[in-house]
Amino acid sequence: MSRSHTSSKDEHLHMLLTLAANSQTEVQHNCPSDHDMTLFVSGQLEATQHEKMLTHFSSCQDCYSQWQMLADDFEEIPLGLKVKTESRFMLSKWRDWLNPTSLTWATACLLLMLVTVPMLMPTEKVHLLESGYASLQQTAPQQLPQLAQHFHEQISSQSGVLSFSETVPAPEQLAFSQGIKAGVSYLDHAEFTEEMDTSIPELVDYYNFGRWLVLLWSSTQVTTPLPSQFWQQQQQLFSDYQAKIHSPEFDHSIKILHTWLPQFPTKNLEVYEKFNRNLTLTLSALK
Amino acid sequence: MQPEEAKTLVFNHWHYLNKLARKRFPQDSQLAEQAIDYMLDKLEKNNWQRVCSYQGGGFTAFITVVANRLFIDFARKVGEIPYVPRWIAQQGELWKKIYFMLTVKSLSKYEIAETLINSVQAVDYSREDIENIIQQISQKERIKPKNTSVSINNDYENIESSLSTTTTPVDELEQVQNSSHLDMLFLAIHALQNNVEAEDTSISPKMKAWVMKLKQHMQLSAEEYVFLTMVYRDGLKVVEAGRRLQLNANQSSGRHRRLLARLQHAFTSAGLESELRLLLD
Repeated sequence: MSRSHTSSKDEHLHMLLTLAANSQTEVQHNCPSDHDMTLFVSGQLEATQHEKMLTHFSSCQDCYSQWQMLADDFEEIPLGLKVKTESRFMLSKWRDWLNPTSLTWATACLLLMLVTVPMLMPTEKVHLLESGYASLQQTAPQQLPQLAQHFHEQISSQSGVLSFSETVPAPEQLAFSQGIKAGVSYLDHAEFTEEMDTSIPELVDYYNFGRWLVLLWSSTQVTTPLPSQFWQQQQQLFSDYQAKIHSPEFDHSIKILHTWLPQFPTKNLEVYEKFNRNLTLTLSALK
Repeated sequence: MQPEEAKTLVFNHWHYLNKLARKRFPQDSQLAEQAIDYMLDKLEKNNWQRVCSYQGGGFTAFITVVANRLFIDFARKVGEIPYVPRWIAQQGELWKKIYFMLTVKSLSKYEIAETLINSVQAVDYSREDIENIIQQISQKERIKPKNTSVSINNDYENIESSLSTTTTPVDELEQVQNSSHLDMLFLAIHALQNNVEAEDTSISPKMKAWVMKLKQHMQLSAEEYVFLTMVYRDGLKVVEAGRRLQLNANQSSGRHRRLLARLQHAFTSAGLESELRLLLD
């Protein structure tokens, strides 16, 4: 439990009087539905609705208490637990999409990966990625539960398309999908057990590109501005990928990134939001 | 969402929901089990209709909202405390017990005082201290005092057996005494706002005039109101309260600082600063 804010007697008294002067005696608006409450606690309610909800909370003790209780839950229940349940759900989804051909292919990849990973992973780039994730986690530990949750849904709806479509996926697509999954796992602090074929360096690039997209997308979900150094690293990574990845599937994505990345960091949160929307659309377009 | 999918999602969260139930009913694992059964029963109703109403926003968040609401229903049904506000929990076991007696048992001030005054747990408390706690909880949590007599039967035994010894009565009494000045003032202020009868609290006409004056000089937005409530009533850290409003640490501190400045200005403009200083001195 956190320690309370230490205030002087004067300050406390001022605040209490102010609260008294502003307290509502009548409940404003109806109590929120399950859906609205969900959007509120996960920070996805639009501004006017958010304000309306707060107005309600300021006059309805029951709902205010519920909100505080939920906030406590999200803070106190270890992230790993939430992730575990979501991940299990994700895996069950993946299982549905997996067909025998993909499974055989994935098994082959796994065997190759076990032999070749230590030799082929470009360590410097991986280090940059790791430090990027680490700084994101350090900067926004509180946003991650919501972020991971949101992300799970996005990814689970896209993943089937990205790598497990009806036709056999291209190795690049599979590597990219695995990168995305690995990135999500990293953000979730969950163990990532699916491996990829790193015997072909290009595939490693696709894999890392997937991980990097997760990192990038996540960074646009965080309201805390990230340091310039973070964005310099991202631009450096992007330059590498841009030079190496030549695939019609990613052209659009790369074009968008090329336009947007130099704009960061910025204090204008709208830029992040627009970028995030574009990135979401791009990932969806990779169907 | 199809019922089958809803069911799968719920069971994929089973471990999580169990954890939530145990957190909500930490003293009694059997009760937590019953709560889970109750929740499942309600969720299954009408072919998983409530779960099927999920429209996005994160399923874990959604199921947490729904499960918590059902746990609250269950708690009320079986006469348990669905949620103890943080500021009360921080004060100690006696406070939690009084909160329980006020909310779940719906006992009157008199009945609570009578029950507790002779209990072992309240041996270092005077009747006045207990009444003071009752009054503070009633006012801050806006619990309307009961005037009618309610049977208390075996409550006394339950209370005795369930009080824990984590905080000693002496500690709690010390806390009450240390904060009594401001808290009593708080009581009076809230009483004014909630139209509590004059006999329940001593409200000075002067204080009433202060609040009225202040109303004209300081208007809070809903967000500011809940932010200050979390910090000054619930005892959250500024950063933590801000986080619950999706503000980062800098934004929270900035907002808090600006609010303090605005308040200072409002008090000066309303001519209340010197009067308050006299009271505090």
